[in-house]
Amino acid sequence: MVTENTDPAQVIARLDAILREIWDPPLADVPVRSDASFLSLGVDSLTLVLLLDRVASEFHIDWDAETSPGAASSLRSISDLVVRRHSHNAA
Amino acid sequence: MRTRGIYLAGLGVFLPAARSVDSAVEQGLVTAGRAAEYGLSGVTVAGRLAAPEMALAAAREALKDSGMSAEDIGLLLYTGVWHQGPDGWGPQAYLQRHLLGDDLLAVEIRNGCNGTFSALELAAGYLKASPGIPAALVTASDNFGTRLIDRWNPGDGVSYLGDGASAVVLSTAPGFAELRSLCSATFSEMEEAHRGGEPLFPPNATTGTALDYGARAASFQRKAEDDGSWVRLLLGHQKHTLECTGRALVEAGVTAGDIRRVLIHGMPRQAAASYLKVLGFSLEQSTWDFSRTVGHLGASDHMAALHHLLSTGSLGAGDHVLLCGFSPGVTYKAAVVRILSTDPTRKHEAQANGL
Repeated sequence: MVTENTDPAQVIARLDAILREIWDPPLADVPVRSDASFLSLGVDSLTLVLLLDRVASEFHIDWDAETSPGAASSLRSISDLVVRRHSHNAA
Repeated sequence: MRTRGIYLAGLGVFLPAARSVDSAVEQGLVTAGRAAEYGLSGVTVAGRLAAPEMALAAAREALKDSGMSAEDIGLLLYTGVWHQGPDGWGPQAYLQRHLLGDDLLAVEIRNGCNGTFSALELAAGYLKASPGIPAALVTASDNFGTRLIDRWNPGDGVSYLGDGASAVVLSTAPGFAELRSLCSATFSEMEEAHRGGEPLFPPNATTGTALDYGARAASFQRKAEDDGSWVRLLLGHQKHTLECTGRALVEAGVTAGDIRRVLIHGMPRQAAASYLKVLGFSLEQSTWDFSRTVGHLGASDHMAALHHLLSTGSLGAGDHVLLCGFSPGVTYKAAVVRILSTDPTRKHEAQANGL
């Protein structure tokens, strides 16, 4: 599945859904603040890797080229990156 | 390392009685939320029983299980992750004095939770290079019931710590299982993940500073996020995990589909599920269901899990099992073992006896 929608709110909603699919019970009934750090949520490194994999395939993100400070530290940071990359590609 | 002609001849495990996580919640040692998130039911607690005593019990069982004598053991590798006894003393000599005698090479080695893997790797090479030596003994043991570490809170994301010991006799003569491959990898750029911002000197154990892996990992992650290296490190962690395990499968001549069970380190449920998913396996294919009843046993997780599978009749001749994990370094390990026989006498669960 490739998601072309780059509306920030919809991107965050989709990222939230992916995170819930990967991280099943603990987050199931808990709202995830998009700017909460993964660290504060207790998202371990390998779960985060799974999230990055899904983001790469759904949003065409090449993580190998990503060196921005704060990247992949929260849903918001990933959403910002997705929007930025897609805007750059569209320009 | 492709390891043809190296066998597991005997296996011994010593596990003290488990204390339930529910009781720890009742006593305020862990929160109910954390307990639910981690999914463990109990951890083994040795009380005042010293790690070398547990190692000795496991070693005796492994030697008996192998049908070999102490004289057959030409190498003893003793490992553990926590303090074993008085500083400046080596626990391997304790096993020599009480079980194996002096006519062998005995060394304590340290490689974190991967200590048993590294010991097996070294022992396999030693046996291949020493035709006159028929067997080696690898043992691991830990008692975490001390100051400077909290078994119920070793750090966010780290499983509760259980006490216990394991021992395995590695032999060039056929045993109950064959070690088909054992592979290692290191990603030293993440070395700091397990020390965070703590100074190298003086060592924290000499200053009375408690170990908190969670705080160290959080410090490391924040720093990596700030300098833009975090994503690269995550991808590197994934790459090394996959590469090491993939190599172990190839060198063993099997595919992931041939693996009957996956033996992993003790981890909280979510971390275990993600680790296994990265490797292409499910939680149900792993031994997490056993691990959740005893906690993270330091360097003994895999041998204890193998012992459990054998003692409960969960493996049959011809089955392949994958043993894998990662530990501070970051070091990655993976091994494939093929079960050759499942002797009915092996069907006894590890318990606190023989002491």
